[in-house]
Amino acid sequence: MFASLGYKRILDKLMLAVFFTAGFITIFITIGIVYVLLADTLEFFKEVSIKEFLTEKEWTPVFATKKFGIWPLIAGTFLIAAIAMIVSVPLGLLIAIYLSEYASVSVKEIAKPIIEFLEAVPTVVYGYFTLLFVTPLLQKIVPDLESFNSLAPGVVLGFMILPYTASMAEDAMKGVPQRIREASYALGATKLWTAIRIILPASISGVIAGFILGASRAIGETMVVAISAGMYPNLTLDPREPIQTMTGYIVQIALGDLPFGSIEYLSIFAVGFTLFIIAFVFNSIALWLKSKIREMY
Amino acid sequence: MVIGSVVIDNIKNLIFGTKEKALEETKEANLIKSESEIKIEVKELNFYYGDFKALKNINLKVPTKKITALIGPSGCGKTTLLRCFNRMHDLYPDSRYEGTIYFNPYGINIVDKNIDLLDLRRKIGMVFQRPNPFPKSIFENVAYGLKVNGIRDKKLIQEKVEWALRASALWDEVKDRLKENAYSLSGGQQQRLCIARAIAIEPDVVLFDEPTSALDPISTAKIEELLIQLKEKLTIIIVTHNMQQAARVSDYTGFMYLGELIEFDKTDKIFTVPKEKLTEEYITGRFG
Repeated sequence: MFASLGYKRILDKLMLAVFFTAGFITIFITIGIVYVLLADTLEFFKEVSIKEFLTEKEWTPVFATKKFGIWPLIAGTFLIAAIAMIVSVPLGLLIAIYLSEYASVSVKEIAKPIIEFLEAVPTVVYGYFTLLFVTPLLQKIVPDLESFNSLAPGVVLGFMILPYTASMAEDAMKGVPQRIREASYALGATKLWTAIRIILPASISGVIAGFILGASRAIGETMVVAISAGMYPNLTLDPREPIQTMTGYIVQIALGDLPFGSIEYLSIFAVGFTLFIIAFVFNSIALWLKSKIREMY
Repeated sequence: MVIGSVVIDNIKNLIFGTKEKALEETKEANLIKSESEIKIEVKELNFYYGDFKALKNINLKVPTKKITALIGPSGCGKTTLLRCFNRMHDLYPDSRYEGTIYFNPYGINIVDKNIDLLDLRRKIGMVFQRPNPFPKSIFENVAYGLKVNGIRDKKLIQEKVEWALRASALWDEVKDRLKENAYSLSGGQQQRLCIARAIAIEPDVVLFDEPTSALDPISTAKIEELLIQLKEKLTIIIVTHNMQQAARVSDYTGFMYLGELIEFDKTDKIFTVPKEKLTEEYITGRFG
């Protein structure tokens, strides 16, 4: 009886080691990624000054006169993300309010998995769907819309990130205790009034956290924009023109056969690192907002 | 029209004398008297959660500007009955009412499917078991009901908020911190804030669902004192599982058991000379 205890204790320690290793591997991989990115990024900045990177207005690494100004890529990335948010925020809010405050349990059971399924569709499918279906459709409505543009991928991304904007917003709103809802109804408030004046403000940090994660996802999205937005670094706010995003540029260079260690090769790490910083800031804000919800009640 | 009928009445009186009219007047007076005394009259009320019959043939007259307590063991249906008065059950599927609950002087049947629930809930307020302020400022909590009712005049809102907070014996404690979050208050203060929120829109009736069960004895005493002050202005129905509380604050008491109203009478009678054996056994602590 007592002998078996020793055996159990060894098993316990062994399992602790396994769990610790599993947890440590993820941290190690993250550190590794940052290290690789940073190392090649520093190589890049030995040849191109940070000043040029941040002040130059053109991005032409594959041209004869190479210019490395990141802004056209950042502009393209944020233009698409902004269009995605313009579509996704109002739509996501409406869906979240409907699902959390109005929908019956049976409707919710069907609707929620469908929304979350949007995340499971391979992004290459979204990419060709955008290029071959959405862009031609939009060309009938929007004059002068080019075959590669930021409008169509922006709209499609807006739907693609609904699992973040709608579903996370709904989770946050559902988290507001029922007794708070009852207090509002007991004062003669309507469902809409309660949703807008009580539930939304009470869950706003969770709702916005979902929006930011959605935006972060849109910024980092690669396949859709690489296929349908074009490969033309373009400092513009016109959603009808072809552009290039940071991720799109990385795909373009990575697919080409540029020599290892060349300045073009190194540039994708500099772009990747910039993207990493942006995503890190967005996710940190979202995480901070999510932690704020718990302090409320 | 009105003037016309008065003229006709006068002519009738001249011709037929005033005897008939006097009779009608006393009838009317009786009616008004009973209407003004009885705020809510429950007649043959049954209530179902799905197939489960939670309330069985309830008959009850709730007097105006008195405190009526509903007592009974857990699961006897007292909270279920309370939540019929403001139709809170309608927030959830599979609830069904049978019978009538008259609400004077409005002449409506509360459990009628076609009545406006928003209007009803503005006339019959509620205070819940656990304090449930909104995650907003103290001021906004009380102002919320006023805004729901379409009051936009800031000065009026301010006046009414102050009035409600004074009437809830909370003003002196919060007057310098109205902009602070309601959750910075203690549990007892939060519950008084919820009372202020309920009375700010000047309802006729306020329902209290075990309002002190989550509070310490001192906060409980403050709320009980408050209830007695409030009955000058409103009709109060309180559900409590604390018999001493019912005895201390209420004018009338109903004893419920297994979904039925076993006995309803003046509180002193229920607690001294109950008619039903079940009531006596419950009050003397033999079960419950």
